[in-house]
Amino acid sequence: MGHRRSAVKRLAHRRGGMMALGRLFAIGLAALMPSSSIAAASDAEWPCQQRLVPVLTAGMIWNGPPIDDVGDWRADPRVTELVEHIVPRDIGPEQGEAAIAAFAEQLGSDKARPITLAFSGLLTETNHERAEVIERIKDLGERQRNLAALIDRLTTELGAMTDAEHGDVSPARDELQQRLTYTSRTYAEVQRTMRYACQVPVSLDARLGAYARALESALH
Amino acid sequence: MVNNSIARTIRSFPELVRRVLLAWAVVALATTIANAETVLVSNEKGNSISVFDAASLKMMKTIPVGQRPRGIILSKDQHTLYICASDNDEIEQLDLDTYKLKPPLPSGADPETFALHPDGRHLYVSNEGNSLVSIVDIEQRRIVGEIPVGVEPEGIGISPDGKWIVNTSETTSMAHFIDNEAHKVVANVLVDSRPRHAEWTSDGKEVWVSSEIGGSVSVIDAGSHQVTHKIKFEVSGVPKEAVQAVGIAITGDRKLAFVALGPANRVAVVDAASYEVKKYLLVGQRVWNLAFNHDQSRLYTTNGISNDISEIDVPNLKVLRSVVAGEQPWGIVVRP
Repeated sequence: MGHRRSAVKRLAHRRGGMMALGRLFAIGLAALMPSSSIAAASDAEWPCQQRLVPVLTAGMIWNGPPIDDVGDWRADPRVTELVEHIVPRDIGPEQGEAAIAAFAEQLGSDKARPITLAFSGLLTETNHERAEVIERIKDLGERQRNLAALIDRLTTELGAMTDAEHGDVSPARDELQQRLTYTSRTYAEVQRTMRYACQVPVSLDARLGAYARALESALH
Repeated sequence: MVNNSIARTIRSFPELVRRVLLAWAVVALATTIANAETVLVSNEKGNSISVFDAASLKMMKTIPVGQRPRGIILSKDQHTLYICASDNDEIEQLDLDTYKLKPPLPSGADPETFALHPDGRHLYVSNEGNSLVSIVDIEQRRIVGEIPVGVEPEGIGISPDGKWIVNTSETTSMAHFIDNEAHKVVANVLVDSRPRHAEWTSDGKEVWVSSEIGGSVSVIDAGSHQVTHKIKFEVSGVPKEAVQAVGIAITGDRKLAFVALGPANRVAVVDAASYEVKKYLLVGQRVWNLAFNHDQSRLYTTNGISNDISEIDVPNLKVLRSVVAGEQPWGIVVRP
Protein backbone atom coordinates (compact mmCIF):
# COMPACT_ATOMS: atom_id res chain seq x y z
CA MET A 1 0.00 0.00 0.00
CA GLY A 2 2.92 2.30 0.61
CA HIS A 3 3.49 2.54 -3.13
CA ARG A 4 0.79 5.19 -3.32
CA ARG A 5 2.74 7.60 -1.20
CA SER A 6 6.03 6.86 -2.89
CA ALA A 7 4.48 7.16 -6.35
CA VAL A 8 3.41 10.68 -5.39
CA LYS A 9 6.91 11.50 -4.23
CA ARG A 10 8.63 10.09 -7.30
CA LEU A 11 6.40 11.82 -9.77
CA ALA A 12 6.64 15.10 -7.92
CA HIS A 13 10.42 14.87 -8.21
CA ARG A 14 10.68 13.74 -11.77
CA ARG A 15 7.93 15.51 -13.63
CA GLY A 16 6.09 18.75 -13.61
CA GLY A 17 2.76 19.83 -14.98
CA MET A 18 -0.70 18.50 -14.82
CA MET A 19 -0.12 15.83 -17.45
CA ALA A 20 2.07 14.04 -14.98
CA LEU A 21 -0.45 14.58 -12.23
CA GLY A 22 -3.16 13.33 -14.51
CA ARG A 23 -1.24 10.10 -15.02
CA LEU A 24 -0.65 9.88 -11.30
CA PHE A 25 -4.32 10.16 -10.54
CA ALA A 26 -5.05 7.59 -13.17
CA ILE A 27 -2.73 5.36 -11.18
CA GLY A 28 -4.83 6.44 -8.21
CA LEU A 29 -7.78 4.65 -9.78
CA ALA A 30 -5.98 1.42 -9.15
CA ALA A 31 -4.61 2.65 -5.88
CA LEU A 32 -8.07 3.36 -4.57
CA MET A 33 -8.93 -0.26 -4.85
CA PRO A 34 -7.44 -2.28 -2.03
CA SER A 35 -4.68 -4.36 -3.56
CA SER A 36 -4.61 -8.08 -4.26
CA SER A 37 -7.42 -7.69 -6.83
CA ILE A 38 -8.51 -7.00 -4.56
CA ALA A 39 -9.24 -8.40 -1.24
CA ALA A 40 -12.40 -10.19 -0.46
CA ALA A 41 -15.71 -9.25 -2.04
CA SER A 42 -16.69 -7.20 1.01
CA ASP A 43 -13.53 -5.12 0.58
CA ALA A 44 -14.13 -4.33 -3.08
CA GLU A 45 -15.40 -0.84 -2.46
CA TRP A 46 -13.30 -0.13 0.57
CA PRO A 47 -10.71 2.56 -0.13
CA CYS A 48 -8.75 2.49 3.12
CA GLN A 49 -5.42 0.79 3.71
CA GLN A 50 -6.71 -1.26 6.63
CA ARG A 51 -8.82 -4.20 5.65
CA LEU A 52 -12.51 -3.60 6.31
CA VAL A 53 -13.86 -5.30 9.41
CA PRO A 54 -17.57 -4.43 9.10
CA VAL A 55 -18.62 -5.25 12.67
CA LEU A 56 -16.83 -5.45 15.99
CA THR A 57 -17.77 -8.38 18.23
CA ALA A 58 -17.34 -9.05 21.92
CA GLY A 59 -15.02 -11.94 21.06
CA MET A 60 -12.53 -9.51 19.56
CA ILE A 61 -11.96 -7.41 22.66
CA TRP A 62 -13.97 -8.49 25.69
CA ASN A 63 -12.44 -10.75 28.30
CA GLY A 64 -15.29 -10.41 30.83
CA PRO A 65 -18.49 -12.42 31.34
CA PRO A 66 -20.45 -13.41 28.19
CA ILE A 67 -22.80 -10.74 26.92
CA ASP A 68 -25.25 -13.00 25.07
CA ASP A 69 -27.55 -13.70 27.99
CA VAL A 70 -26.94 -10.61 30.04
CA GLY A 71 -30.17 -8.90 28.97
CA ASP A 72 -31.09 -5.48 27.61
CA TRP A 73 -28.60 -2.82 28.54
CA ARG A 74 -31.25 -0.14 28.05
CA ALA A 75 -33.26 -1.56 30.96
CA ASP A 76 -30.70 -0.26 33.48
CA PRO A 77 -30.79 3.56 33.67
CA ARG A 78 -27.25 3.73 35.12
CA VAL A 79 -25.93 1.83 32.12
CA THR A 80 -27.97 3.83 29.62
CA GLU A 81 -26.68 7.08 31.09
CA LEU A 82 -23.07 5.90 30.85
CA VAL A 83 -23.36 4.56 27.31
CA GLU A 84 -25.14 7.62 25.97
CA HIS A 85 -22.59 9.86 27.66
CA ILE A 86 -19.42 8.23 26.33
CA VAL A 87 -20.39 6.89 22.91
CA PRO A 88 -20.52 10.17 20.91
CA ARG A 89 -17.48 10.50 18.68
CA ASP A 90 -16.27 13.71 20.29
CA ILE A 91 -15.68 11.93 23.61
CA GLY A 92 -12.03 10.92 23.96
CA PRO A 93 -10.96 7.64 25.58
CA GLU A 94 -9.61 9.34 28.71
CA GLN A 95 -12.90 11.14 29.29
CA GLY A 96 -14.80 7.89 28.73
CA GLU A 97 -12.52 5.94 31.05
CA ALA A 98 -13.09 8.52 33.81
CA ALA A 99 -16.84 8.16 33.35
CA ILE A 100 -16.50 4.35 33.54
CA ALA A 101 -14.53 4.69 36.78
CA ALA A 102 -17.27 6.90 38.25
CA PHE A 103 -19.92 4.45 37.04
CA ALA A 104 -18.13 1.50 38.63
CA GLU A 105 -17.67 3.40 41.87
CA GLN A 106 -21.40 3.70 42.47
CA LEU A 107 -22.01 -0.03 41.94
CA GLY A 108 -22.40 -2.32 44.91
CA SER A 109 -20.88 -5.76 45.30
CA ASP A 110 -23.03 -7.19 42.51
CA LYS A 111 -21.29 -5.24 39.81
CA ALA A 112 -20.58 -7.94 37.22
CA ARG A 113 -23.98 -7.64 35.55
CA PRO A 114 -24.13 -3.84 35.17
CA ILE A 115 -20.52 -3.80 33.94
CA THR A 116 -21.26 -6.50 31.38
CA LEU A 117 -24.41 -4.63 30.34
CA ALA A 118 -22.32 -1.49 29.93
CA PHE A 119 -19.93 -3.28 27.60
CA SER A 120 -22.87 -4.72 25.66
CA GLY A 121 -24.31 -1.21 25.22
CA LEU A 122 -20.98 0.33 24.24
CA LEU A 123 -20.37 -2.42 21.69
CA THR A 124 -23.83 -1.99 20.12
CA GLU A 125 -23.64 1.77 19.95
CA THR A 126 -20.03 1.86 18.73
CA ASN A 127 -21.02 -0.50 15.93
CA HIS A 128 -23.81 1.92 14.95
CA GLU A 129 -21.32 4.79 14.85
CA ARG A 130 -18.86 2.69 12.84
CA ALA A 131 -21.50 1.59 10.35
CA GLU A 132 -22.34 5.22 9.56
CA VAL A 133 -18.68 6.13 9.15
CA ILE A 134 -18.03 3.10 6.94
CA GLU A 135 -20.89 4.04 4.62
CA ARG A 136 -19.54 7.59 4.30
CA ILE A 137 -16.07 6.30 3.51
CA LYS A 138 -17.46 3.98 0.85
CA ASP A 139 -19.32 6.94 -0.72
CA LEU A 140 -16.09 8.91 -0.70
CA GLY A 141 -14.30 5.97 -2.33
CA GLU A 142 -16.89 5.78 -5.09
CA ARG A 143 -16.50 9.49 -5.72
CA GLN A 144 -12.75 9.06 -6.01
CA ARG A 145 -13.09 6.17 -8.42
CA ASN A 146 -15.32 8.29 -10.64
CA LEU A 147 -12.89 11.21 -10.48
CA ALA A 148 -9.94 8.93 -11.24
CA ALA A 149 -11.77 7.53 -14.28
CA LEU A 150 -12.47 11.07 -15.49
CA ILE A 151 -8.83 12.07 -15.02
CA ASP A 152 -7.77 9.00 -16.95
CA ARG A 153 -10.08 9.92 -19.83
CA LEU A 154 -9.06 13.61 -19.89
CA THR A 155 -5.37 12.66 -19.82
CA THR A 156 -5.85 10.32 -22.77
CA GLU A 157 -7.76 12.97 -24.73
CA LEU A 158 -5.15 15.62 -24.00
CA GLY A 159 -2.38 13.26 -25.04
CA ALA A 160 -4.17 12.60 -28.33
CA MET A 161 -4.20 16.33 -29.19
CA THR A 162 -0.90 16.68 -31.03
CA ASP A 163 0.79 20.04 -31.44
CA ALA A 164 0.67 19.62 -35.19
CA GLU A 165 -3.10 19.40 -35.16
CA HIS A 166 -3.97 21.94 -32.52
CA GLY A 167 -0.92 24.10 -31.78
CA ASP A 168 0.16 25.30 -28.33
CA VAL A 169 -2.61 27.89 -28.00
CA SER A 170 -5.55 25.81 -29.14
CA PRO A 171 -8.69 26.84 -27.13
CA ALA A 172 -9.88 23.24 -27.10
CA ARG A 173 -6.59 22.15 -25.63
CA ASP A 174 -6.69 24.92 -23.01
CA GLU A 175 -10.19 23.94 -21.96
CA LEU A 176 -9.24 20.30 -21.62
CA GLN A 177 -6.13 21.24 -19.65
CA GLN A 178 -8.18 23.38 -17.28
CA ARG A 179 -10.69 20.59 -16.73
CA LEU A 180 -7.88 18.19 -16.00
CA THR A 181 -6.29 20.64 -13.56
CA TYR A 182 -9.54 21.24 -11.73
CA THR A 183 -10.47 17.55 -11.55
CA SER A 184 -7.01 16.59 -10.36
CA ARG A 185 -7.11 19.21 -7.60
CA THR A 186 -10.52 17.99 -6.47
CA TYR A 187 -9.18 14.45 -6.41
CA ALA A 188 -6.23 15.50 -4.27
CA GLU A 189 -8.48 17.34 -1.82
CA VAL A 190 -10.83 14.38 -1.45
CA GLN A 191 -7.83 12.11 -1.00
CA ARG A 192 -6.68 14.21 1.96
CA THR A 193 -10.17 13.94 3.46
CA MET A 194 -10.07 10.19 2.82
CA ARG A 195 -6.87 9.75 4.82
CA TYR A 196 -8.53 11.45 7.77
CA ALA A 197 -11.81 9.56 7.31
CA CYS A 198 -10.05 6.18 7.23
CA GLN A 199 -8.67 6.87 10.68
CA VAL A 200 -12.14 7.33 12.21
CA PRO A 201 -13.07 3.61 12.42
CA VAL A 202 -9.58 2.92 13.76
CA SER A 203 -10.10 5.52 16.50
CA LEU A 204 -13.49 4.06 17.37
CA ASP A 205 -11.96 0.57 17.59
CA ALA A 206 -9.19 1.89 19.83
CA ARG A 207 -11.63 3.72 22.08
CA LEU A 208 -13.89 0.68 22.47
CA GLY A 209 -10.83 -1.38 23.38
CA ALA A 210 -9.89 1.18 26.03
CA TYR A 211 -13.46 1.12 27.39
CA ALA A 212 -13.43 -2.70 27.48
CA ARG A 213 -10.17 -2.73 29.43
CA ALA A 214 -11.49 -0.10 31.88
CA LEU A 215 -14.66 -2.14 32.48
CA GLU A 216 -12.68 -5.37 32.90
CA SER A 217 -10.43 -3.68 35.39
CA ALA A 218 -13.51 -2.46 37.33
CA LEU A 219 -14.73 -6.07 37.54
CA HIS A 220 -11.80 -7.05 39.75
CA MET B 1 29.02 -3.71 45.33
CA VAL B 2 25.57 -4.98 46.24
CA ASN B 3 26.57 -8.57 45.44
CA ASN B 4 29.70 -8.29 47.67
CA SER B 5 27.59 -6.96 50.48
CA ILE B 6 25.10 -9.83 50.08
CA ALA B 7 28.00 -12.35 50.14
CA ARG B 8 29.45 -10.85 53.35
CA THR B 9 26.06 -10.96 55.04
CA ILE B 10 25.48 -14.56 53.95
CA ARG B 11 28.84 -15.70 55.42
CA SER B 12 27.71 -14.52 58.86
CA PHE B 13 24.69 -16.92 58.91
CA PRO B 14 24.54 -20.61 60.02
CA GLU B 15 25.03 -23.27 57.32
CA LEU B 16 21.36 -24.01 56.42
CA VAL B 17 20.32 -20.40 56.32
CA ARG B 18 23.45 -19.68 54.30
CA ARG B 19 22.52 -22.26 51.68
CA VAL B 20 19.00 -20.88 51.34
CA LEU B 21 20.30 -17.38 51.01
CA LEU B 22 22.93 -18.46 48.51
CA ALA B 23 20.24 -20.05 46.35
CA TRP B 24 18.27 -16.83 46.60
CA ALA B 25 21.35 -14.83 45.61
CA VAL B 26 21.87 -17.03 42.53
CA VAL B 27 18.26 -16.45 41.49
CA ALA B 28 18.68 -12.72 42.11
CA LEU B 29 21.83 -12.65 39.98
CA ALA B 30 20.11 -14.55 37.17
CA THR B 31 17.26 -12.07 37.35
CA THR B 32 19.74 -9.21 37.16
CA ILE B 33 21.21 -10.71 33.98
CA ALA B 34 17.76 -11.23 32.50
CA ASN B 35 16.99 -7.62 33.37
CA ALA B 36 19.65 -6.50 30.98
CA GLU B 37 17.43 -7.31 28.02
CA THR B 38 15.74 -4.42 26.29
CA VAL B 39 12.68 -4.46 24.06
CA LEU B 40 12.85 -2.04 21.13
CA VAL B 41 9.68 -0.98 19.33
CA SER B 42 9.16 1.18 16.24
CA ASN B 43 6.15 3.47 16.40
CA GLU B 44 4.86 3.94 12.85
CA LYS B 45 2.77 7.01 13.58
CA GLY B 46 4.74 8.33 16.53
CA ASN B 47 7.93 8.43 14.40
CA SER B 48 9.95 7.09 17.30
CA ILE B 49 11.61 4.07 18.88
CA SER B 50 10.45 3.07 22.36
CA VAL B 51 12.96 1.30 24.60
CA PHE B 52 11.66 -0.94 27.39
CA ASP B 53 13.47 -2.76 30.16
CA ALA B 54 12.40 -6.35 29.44
CA ALA B 55 12.09 -7.42 33.08
CA SER B 56 9.94 -4.57 34.33
CA LEU B 57 8.55 -3.53 30.93
CA LYS B 58 9.12 0.06 32.03
CA MET B 59 9.65 2.41 29.14
CA MET B 60 13.18 3.70 29.54
CA LYS B 61 13.46 6.00 26.54
CA THR B 62 11.66 7.28 23.48
CA ILE B 63 13.94 8.27 20.63
CA PRO B 64 12.59 10.42 17.78
CA VAL B 65 13.55 8.94 14.40
CA GLY B 66 12.57 9.42 10.74
CA GLN B 67 9.12 9.36 9.25
CA ARG B 68 7.03 6.20 9.49
CA PRO B 69 9.46 3.76 11.05
CA ARG B 70 8.33 0.17 10.48
CA GLY B 71 10.72 -2.79 10.09
CA ILE B 72 13.55 -2.91 12.64
CA ILE B 73 16.49 -5.34 12.96
CA LEU B 74 19.42 -5.67 15.34
CA SER B 75 22.91 -5.65 13.84
CA LYS B 76 24.89 -8.86 14.17
CA ASP B 77 26.92 -7.41 17.06
CA GLN B 78 23.67 -6.12 18.59
CA HIS B 79 25.03 -2.61 19.07
CA THR B 80 23.02 -0.99 16.27
CA LEU B 81 19.34 -0.96 15.41
CA TYR B 82 18.52 -0.67 11.72
CA ILE B 83 15.22 1.12 11.10
CA CYS B 84 13.19 1.26 7.88
CA ALA B 85 12.14 4.91 7.85
CA SER B 86 9.61 4.35 5.10
CA ASP B 87 8.68 7.94 4.29
CA ASN B 88 12.29 9.14 4.48
CA ASP B 89 13.30 6.51 1.90
CA GLU B 90 16.27 5.47 4.01
CA ILE B 91 17.43 3.08 6.70
CA GLU B 92 18.38 4.79 9.89
CA GLN B 93 21.03 3.44 12.24
CA LEU B 94 20.49 3.86 15.95
CA ASP B 95 23.55 3.33 18.15
CA LEU B 96 22.18 1.27 21.05
CA ASP B 97 25.00 2.24 23.41
CA THR B 98 24.48 5.98 23.07
CA TYR B 99 20.95 6.01 21.60
CA LYS B 100 22.13 8.49 18.99
CA LEU B 101 21.42 8.18 15.28
CA LYS B 102 24.38 7.44 13.04
CA PRO B 103 24.50 8.41 9.33
CA PRO B 104 21.69 6.59 7.51
CA LEU B 105 21.95 3.85 4.91
CA PRO B 106 20.37 4.05 1.47
CA SER B 107 17.35 1.82 1.05
CA GLY B 108 15.71 2.35 -2.30
CA ALA B 109 12.16 3.70 -2.42
CA ASP B 110 9.67 3.15 0.37
CA PRO B 111 11.41 0.56 2.54
CA GLU B 112 8.93 -1.32 4.69
CA THR B 113 10.62 -4.50 5.78
CA PHE B 114 14.08 -5.97 5.43
CA ALA B 115 16.26 -8.89 6.46
CA LEU B 116 19.88 -9.11 7.58
CA HIS B 117 22.13 -11.61 5.80
CA PRO B 118 23.88 -14.04 8.20
CA ASP B 119 27.18 -12.32 7.23
CA GLY B 120 25.89 -9.29 9.16
CA ARG B 121 27.07 -7.04 6.36
CA HIS B 122 24.17 -6.93 3.91
CA LEU B 123 20.57 -5.87 4.30
CA TYR B 124 17.92 -7.02 1.83
CA VAL B 125 15.20 -4.40 1.59
CA SER B 126 11.69 -4.72 0.16
CA ASN B 127 11.02 -1.61 -1.94
CA GLU B 128 7.27 -1.68 -2.06
CA GLY B 129 7.01 1.20 -4.53
CA ASN B 130 9.16 -0.13 -7.36
CA SER B 131 8.97 -3.93 -7.18
CA LEU B 132 12.59 -4.41 -6.19
CA VAL B 133 14.63 -5.94 -3.44
CA SER B 134 17.63 -3.69 -2.80
CA ILE B 135 20.84 -5.13 -1.39
CA VAL B 136 22.56 -2.69 0.93
CA ASP B 137 26.21 -2.99 1.92
CA ILE B 138 26.20 -1.70 5.49
CA GLU B 139 29.93 -0.93 5.73
CA GLN B 140 30.07 0.87 2.41
CA ARG B 141 26.69 2.52 2.99
CA ARG B 142 25.58 1.94 -0.57
CA ILE B 143 23.21 -0.19 -2.61
CA VAL B 144 25.22 -2.91 -4.27
CA GLY B 145 22.46 -4.80 -6.05
CA GLU B 146 18.80 -4.76 -7.04
CA ILE B 147 16.63 -7.80 -7.66
CA PRO B 148 13.37 -7.37 -9.62
CA VAL B 149 10.49 -9.14 -7.85
CA GLY B 150 6.68 -9.15 -7.90
CA VAL B 151 4.44 -6.13 -7.52
CA GLU B 152 4.43 -4.57 -4.05
CA PRO B 153 7.10 -6.69 -2.36
CA GLU B 154 6.40 -7.07 1.29
CA GLY B 155 7.78 -9.73 3.65
CA ILE B 156 11.35 -10.87 3.26
CA GLY B 157 13.28 -13.72 4.85
CA ILE B 158 16.80 -15.10 4.32
CA SER B 159 17.62 -18.77 4.81
CA PRO B 160 19.90 -19.53 7.77
CA ASP B 161 22.76 -20.36 5.33
CA GLY B 162 22.22 -17.10 3.44
CA LYS B 163 21.77 -18.85 0.09
CA TRP B 164 18.05 -18.22 -0.40
CA ILE B 165 15.81 -15.22 -0.09
CA VAL B 166 12.05 -15.43 0.06
CA ASN B 167 10.17 -12.29 -0.78
CA THR B 168 6.37 -12.01 -0.77
CA SER B 169 4.41 -9.97 -3.30
CA GLU B 170 1.30 -8.34 -1.91
CA THR B 171 -0.45 -7.91 -5.25
CA THR B 172 0.32 -11.20 -6.96
CA SER B 173 -0.06 -13.24 -3.75
CA MET B 174 3.19 -15.06 -4.33
CA ALA B 175 6.27 -16.03 -2.40
CA HIS B 176 9.32 -15.61 -4.67
CA PHE B 177 12.32 -17.84 -4.02
CA ILE B 178 15.48 -15.98 -5.01
CA ASP B 179 18.84 -17.62 -5.55
CA ASN B 180 21.12 -15.27 -3.65
CA GLU B 181 24.18 -16.05 -5.77
CA ALA B 182 22.54 -15.45 -9.13
CA HIS B 183 20.18 -12.81 -7.73
CA LYS B 184 17.41 -14.40 -9.77
CA VAL B 185 13.90 -15.53 -8.91
CA VAL B 186 13.87 -19.30 -9.40
CA ALA B 187 10.40 -20.18 -8.11
CA ASN B 188 7.10 -18.43 -7.57
CA VAL B 189 4.82 -20.06 -5.04
CA LEU B 190 1.16 -19.07 -4.94
CA VAL B 191 -0.13 -18.42 -1.42
CA ASP B 192 -3.30 -16.85 -0.04
CA SER B 193 -4.22 -13.22 -0.55
CA ARG B 194 -1.93 -10.40 0.58
CA PRO B 195 1.11 -12.27 1.91
CA ARG B 196 2.79 -10.30 4.65
CA HIS B 197 5.61 -12.12 6.35
CA ALA B 198 8.11 -14.87 5.45
CA GLU B 199 9.76 -16.78 8.29
CA TRP B 200 12.35 -19.52 7.82
CA THR B 201 12.54 -22.38 10.29
CA SER B 202 15.88 -22.56 12.10
CA ASP B 203 16.87 -25.72 10.15
CA GLY B 204 16.26 -23.99 6.81
CA LYS B 205 13.81 -26.67 5.67
CA GLU B 206 10.60 -24.65 5.62
CA VAL B 207 9.38 -21.14 5.04
CA TRP B 208 6.16 -20.04 6.69
CA VAL B 209 4.31 -17.28 4.81
CA SER B 210 1.38 -15.45 6.41
CA SER B 211 -1.50 -14.04 4.34
CA GLU B 212 -3.31 -11.05 5.78
CA ILE B 213 -6.52 -11.27 3.77
CA GLY B 214 -6.41 -15.03 3.41
CA GLY B 215 -6.13 -15.28 7.19
CA SER B 216 -3.79 -18.24 6.82
CA VAL B 217 -0.19 -19.43 6.89
CA SER B 218 1.27 -21.42 3.99
CA VAL B 219 4.09 -23.75 4.98
CA ILE B 220 6.45 -24.10 2.01
CA ASP B 221 9.03 -26.85 1.65
CA ALA B 222 12.28 -25.01 0.90
CA GLY B 223 13.61 -27.80 -1.30
CA SER B 224 10.64 -28.52 -3.53
CA HIS B 225 9.05 -25.04 -3.32
CA GLN B 226 5.68 -26.69 -2.69
CA VAL B 227 3.09 -25.64 -0.15
CA THR B 228 2.98 -28.67 2.13
CA HIS B 229 0.55 -27.37 4.76
CA LYS B 230 -2.01 -24.61 4.96
CA ILE B 231 -2.80 -23.43 8.49
CA LYS B 232 -6.18 -21.74 8.85
CA PHE B 233 -7.33 -19.78 11.85
CA GLU B 234 -10.85 -19.59 13.26
CA VAL B 235 -11.43 -17.74 16.48
CA SER B 236 -14.76 -18.31 18.20
CA GLY B 237 -16.83 -15.12 18.30
CA VAL B 238 -14.50 -13.24 15.97
CA PRO B 239 -15.61 -12.38 12.41
CA LYS B 240 -13.60 -13.95 9.60
CA GLU B 241 -12.57 -10.55 8.20
CA ALA B 242 -10.86 -9.73 11.48
CA VAL B 243 -8.62 -12.80 11.34
CA GLN B 244 -5.61 -11.39 9.48
CA ALA B 245 -2.38 -13.37 9.72
CA VAL B 246 0.70 -11.15 9.88
CA GLY B 247 3.79 -11.66 12.08
CA ILE B 248 5.25 -15.14 12.66
CA ALA B 249 7.75 -16.37 15.25
CA ILE B 250 8.95 -20.00 15.36
CA THR B 251 10.93 -21.38 18.29
CA GLY B 252 14.47 -22.53 17.55
CA ASP B 253 13.58 -26.11 18.50
CA ARG B 254 10.70 -25.96 15.98
CA LYS B 255 8.19 -27.11 18.56
CA LEU B 256 5.98 -24.02 18.57
CA ALA B 257 5.03 -21.26 16.19
CA PHE B 258 3.20 -18.07 17.03
CA VAL B 259 1.15 -16.14 14.47
CA ALA B 260 -0.17 -12.61 15.02
CA LEU B 261 -3.79 -12.32 13.84
CA GLY B 262 -4.21 -8.55 13.45
CA PRO B 263 -7.64 -7.17 14.44
CA ALA B 264 -8.68 -10.56 15.86
CA ASN B 265 -6.43 -9.35 18.70
CA ARG B 266 -5.12 -12.86 19.14
CA VAL B 267 -1.82 -14.64 18.80
CA ALA B 268 -2.32 -18.19 17.53
CA VAL B 269 -0.14 -20.86 19.07
CA VAL B 270 0.66 -23.59 16.53
CA ASP B 271 2.28 -26.97 17.07
CA ALA B 272 5.07 -26.60 14.53
CA ALA B 273 5.37 -30.36 14.06
CA SER B 274 1.69 -31.23 13.50
CA TYR B 275 0.68 -27.76 12.20
CA GLU B 276 -2.36 -27.85 14.53
CA VAL B 277 -3.51 -24.67 16.24
CA LYS B 278 -3.24 -25.31 19.98
CA LYS B 279 -4.55 -22.10 21.44
CA TYR B 280 -5.42 -18.44 20.84
CA LEU B 281 -4.07 -15.82 23.23
CA LEU B 282 -5.92 -12.52 23.65
CA VAL B 283 -3.47 -9.60 23.41
CA GLY B 284 -3.83 -5.92 22.48
CA GLN B 285 -5.68 -4.54 19.47
CA ARG B 286 -4.42 -5.22 15.94
CA VAL B 287 -1.46 -7.38 16.87
CA TRP B 288 1.09 -7.08 14.08
CA ASN B 289 4.65 -8.24 14.74
CA LEU B 290 6.29 -10.60 17.20
CA ALA B 291 9.72 -11.05 18.80
CA PHE B 292 11.19 -13.58 21.21
CA ASN B 293 13.60 -12.67 23.94
CA HIS B 294 17.05 -14.28 24.03
CA ASP B 295 16.11 -17.67 25.56
CA GLN B 296 12.64 -17.66 23.94
CA SER B 297 10.91 -17.79 27.31
CA ARG B 298 9.05 -14.60 26.45
CA LEU B 299 7.34 -13.38 23.29
CA TYR B 300 6.49 -9.74 22.76
CA THR B 301 3.83 -8.37 20.40
CA THR B 302 3.16 -4.94 18.91
CA ASN B 303 -0.49 -3.91 19.02
CA GLY B 304 -1.09 -1.11 16.51
CA ILE B 305 -4.53 0.10 17.57
CA SER B 306 -4.32 -0.11 21.35
CA ASN B 307 -0.84 1.46 21.12
CA ASP B 308 0.74 -1.07 23.43
CA ILE B 309 2.89 -4.18 23.53
CA SER B 310 1.95 -7.48 25.16
CA GLU B 311 4.23 -9.98 26.89
CA ILE B 312 3.57 -13.71 26.56
CA ASP B 313 4.96 -16.39 28.86
CA VAL B 314 6.07 -18.97 26.27
CA PRO B 315 6.39 -22.12 28.45
CA ASN B 316 2.98 -21.52 30.04
CA LEU B 317 1.33 -19.97 26.95
CA LYS B 318 -0.13 -17.10 28.98
CA VAL B 319 -0.37 -13.38 28.35
CA LEU B 320 1.35 -11.72 31.29
CA ARG B 321 0.73 -8.02 30.71
CA SER B 322 0.39 -5.22 28.20
CA VAL B 323 2.10 -1.85 28.50
CA VAL B 324 1.71 1.40 26.60
CA ALA B 325 4.17 2.07 23.75
CA GLY B 326 4.20 4.97 21.27
CA GLU B 327 1.67 5.77 18.59
CA GLN B 328 0.96 2.77 16.35
CA PRO B 329 3.68 0.33 17.40
CA TRP B 330 4.84 -1.79 14.42
CA GLY B 331 8.26 -3.48 14.56
CA ILE B 332 9.76 -5.15 17.60
CA VAL B 333 13.10 -6.76 18.56
CA VAL B 334 14.68 -7.78 21.86
CA ARG B 335 18.31 -6.90 22.50
CA PRO B 336 19.97 -9.45 24.81
